[in-house]
Amino acid sequence: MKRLDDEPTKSGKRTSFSDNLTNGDSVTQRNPVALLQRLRLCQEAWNPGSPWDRDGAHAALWGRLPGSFLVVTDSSSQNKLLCVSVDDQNKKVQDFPIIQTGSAQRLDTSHLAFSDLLQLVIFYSLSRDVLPLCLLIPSWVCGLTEQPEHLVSHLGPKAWVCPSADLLPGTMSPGTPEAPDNVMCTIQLTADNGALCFINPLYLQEHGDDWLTHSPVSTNLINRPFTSKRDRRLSTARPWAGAGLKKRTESVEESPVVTDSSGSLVQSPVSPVTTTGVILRRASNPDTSDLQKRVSVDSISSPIPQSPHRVSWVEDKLWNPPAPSSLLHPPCLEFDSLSMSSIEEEPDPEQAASPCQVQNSPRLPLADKVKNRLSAVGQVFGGFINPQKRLSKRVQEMSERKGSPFAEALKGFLEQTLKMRAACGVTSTEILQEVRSSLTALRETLYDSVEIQSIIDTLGDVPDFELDTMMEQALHKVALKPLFSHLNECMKTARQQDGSLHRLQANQKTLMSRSLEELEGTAGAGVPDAAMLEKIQQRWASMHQQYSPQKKVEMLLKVCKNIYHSMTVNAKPGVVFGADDFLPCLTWVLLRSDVVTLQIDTDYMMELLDPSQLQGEGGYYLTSLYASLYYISSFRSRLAARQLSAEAQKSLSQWHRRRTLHCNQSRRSRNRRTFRRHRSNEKSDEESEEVNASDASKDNDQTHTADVTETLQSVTENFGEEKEEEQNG
Amino acid sequence: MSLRELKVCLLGETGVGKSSIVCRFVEDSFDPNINPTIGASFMTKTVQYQNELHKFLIWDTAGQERFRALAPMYYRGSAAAIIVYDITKEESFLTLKNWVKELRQHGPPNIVVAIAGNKCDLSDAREVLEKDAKDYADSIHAIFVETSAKNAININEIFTEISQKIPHLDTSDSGVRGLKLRREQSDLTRERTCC
Repeated sequence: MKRLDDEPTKSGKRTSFSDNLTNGDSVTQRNPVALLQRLRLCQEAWNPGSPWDRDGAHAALWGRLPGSFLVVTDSSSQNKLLCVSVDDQNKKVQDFPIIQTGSAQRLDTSHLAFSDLLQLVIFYSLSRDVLPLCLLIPSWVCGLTEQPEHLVSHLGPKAWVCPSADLLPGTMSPGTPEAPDNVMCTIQLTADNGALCFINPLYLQEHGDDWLTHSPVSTNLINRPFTSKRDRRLSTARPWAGAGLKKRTESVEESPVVTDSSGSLVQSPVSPVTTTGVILRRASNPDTSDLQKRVSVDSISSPIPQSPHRVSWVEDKLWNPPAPSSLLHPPCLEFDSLSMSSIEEEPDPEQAASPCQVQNSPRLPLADKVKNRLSAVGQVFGGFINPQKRLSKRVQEMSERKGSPFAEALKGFLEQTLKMRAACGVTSTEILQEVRSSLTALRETLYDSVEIQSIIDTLGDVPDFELDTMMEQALHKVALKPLFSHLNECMKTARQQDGSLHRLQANQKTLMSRSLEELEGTAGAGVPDAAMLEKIQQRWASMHQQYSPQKKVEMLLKVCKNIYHSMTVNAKPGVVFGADDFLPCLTWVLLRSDVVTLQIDTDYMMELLDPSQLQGEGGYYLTSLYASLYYISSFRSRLAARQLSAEAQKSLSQWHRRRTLHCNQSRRSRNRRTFRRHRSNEKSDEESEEVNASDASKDNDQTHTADVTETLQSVTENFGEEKEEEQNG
Repeated sequence: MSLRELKVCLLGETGVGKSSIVCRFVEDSFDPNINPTIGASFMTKTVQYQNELHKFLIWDTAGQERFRALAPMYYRGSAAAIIVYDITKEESFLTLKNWVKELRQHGPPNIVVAIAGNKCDLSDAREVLEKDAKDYADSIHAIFVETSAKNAININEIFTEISQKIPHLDTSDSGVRGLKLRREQSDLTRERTCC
């Protein structure tokens, strides 16, 4: 798990531009991921399922320490309720309904939305926002990592709200009024005109925040050069929220830099220590943009005091004692990731790797005006340094410009696809393959445009395939979004016509009654309980709503994570659950889900996802989903099971083939500049090769890896080689 | 130093300890940046091999007979396969031989095959002689080690040997792809000079 690996680097940088602060190198670092993790471990304690309800929670919270809380489901409205003990003297417990809007959760009275409950709880344990006080997390939670998971799961709500005065003074207690002796943060503000500046929080302590509403620039504000922002991005541990899908991108991207800068060999491709002085660029999480926008808009339209400044992000790490309840807590550098619901509820493989997780980030006594503008954070953040957004915006503009080659091509594609009806004999795969090849062609058009080139030129050292991914993302918005529902219909019709959905549903019925063991599941692995199953259904539903295949995969990873959680909840400590256990469990879940929709979503992801993303974690679980659906639809009785039906074999071979074609396409486009002609020859070869499809596909994969590696080598060896590229291209 | 991503597929009967091997391999990672994955079915670890970094993307497969037909989806595109058997279960060794056959027929060409006789800490209950397995592995030019995920015996060795057997890129591919260049190199250079 990535932690604060790049801490030294960052601290160093920070001192360099705010030299009156001795940034927190001296402060003990705790694992920032842990709080999320620990809270997740004991979620059953603070978020008990049935029979816990509002009354039960009130009873349990009665007279507990202020800030003690439970999240329960209101039996009447079926909404989640955050019940908080607000005053132990008067024995008062207040309820705060949690509203679920799409995939976002927020308190009824607040505009800050979170992608899940865990984030919401953590946020309010750090910043009270609309609550009368911060939520109180018992200090035993801090020790949770020492315990095996199975013990934790037995801790119930009673333990959670236990008043056993076990609060860690100064860490979790909301009421310690000592002044922080060691404030190490910088708040960055953004004026409405886009200028960036810094504020030393000590200044706020000293002088208040009145100036915020007066002059646009304070003497204490330092203009921050754009490059320093990029320096921050050096953070090699910084995740890119594509979860497994991005994993590959990430390491490949970073490795050349390591070698470049130090000239020495390092174990880790992403060792931050050796990268000093090299700018690593990375796209901010492109996936938050929608939600970001929504939240930002919400917040801006909310009646907050207007001033020329907005907090764009808060930088800092360390803290000492927390201040009273009206604290702003800057959870991490990527503030947007918390408030804008982009971080995973549980530390996701990639996302959790954020160098600046919530856990013990210190609390920062901030002036109210600053705090009130927190919600605008994400917008500014994204607008400034998110190349994805720039790219998407430009692509959007280009698509609306009548007469431009791209707009024309796009229009043609959209019209043609919308006219398309699932004709007899056309498989859903074929439909999607057509779309995929058009997408690739459109991407080419974009690359050929001067406007896009100029943006790319400013991006710096983004590897080709990462660029492709960003371009895809931008393209999906203009090309897939309008087609999404139409495509869904076509795929469904096609799959109905070929009988595969019927088979799937019939077998679902047959298998539904089987227990995990009967599905070849291994003893000891649990299955999701009703509440978790419900949560998973919601996630499937939001997965279905995503038009972007990448975002769908992210949702799938969340579901898989939930499944793992259920598997391990009651397991013996130390038991490792691999595919032997996971696949039956996934199958068990699928049998209780809308397999028809899932099949369509799986097709959609499989066909439209960039093939380079299929080797990583996202690719693995997508393959598992595909495999599991395949298992269900091709299920035959035990006697017949050993022999695959001819039908199933055909389908399997088709599966190989289509991935093959895709890999090929993508590779060609990747090398478009240099070897376009050569690649197209190859294509015809491979298309004729059906019998040995899996072999060919292997070739492709290796080829792809080879491309990547050689790309990296060429970077490290000779920066001047672009001349050759011109010659070749 | 270049980084290569190597997809490694784990095959073998259920219960032979496939995922334990991977967990053990990934667990004592010296890479501080290693990402935890959401479960043991898919794990990654990066190790240095000569002047390359090898990032193993380890795909576990379900070993149950019923799921066997699904394996091609998983081993497709793998650079290597680790086939695991349990030295205390003769039957798992026979299953292994079937996997080898299947890989030969349907697997990626040139896939590096490694055979791991797991649970070698339980030598009292041994049913498969080390020599027999070794001879078999030699006959198919496969890597062979007896491992104990429990006692961390020979775990890293499998992966090191896989690294060694993976064809070196420079020699295996010349010409076309070696010239693959990147559009942004000039930008990269520019940035480097300004910081």
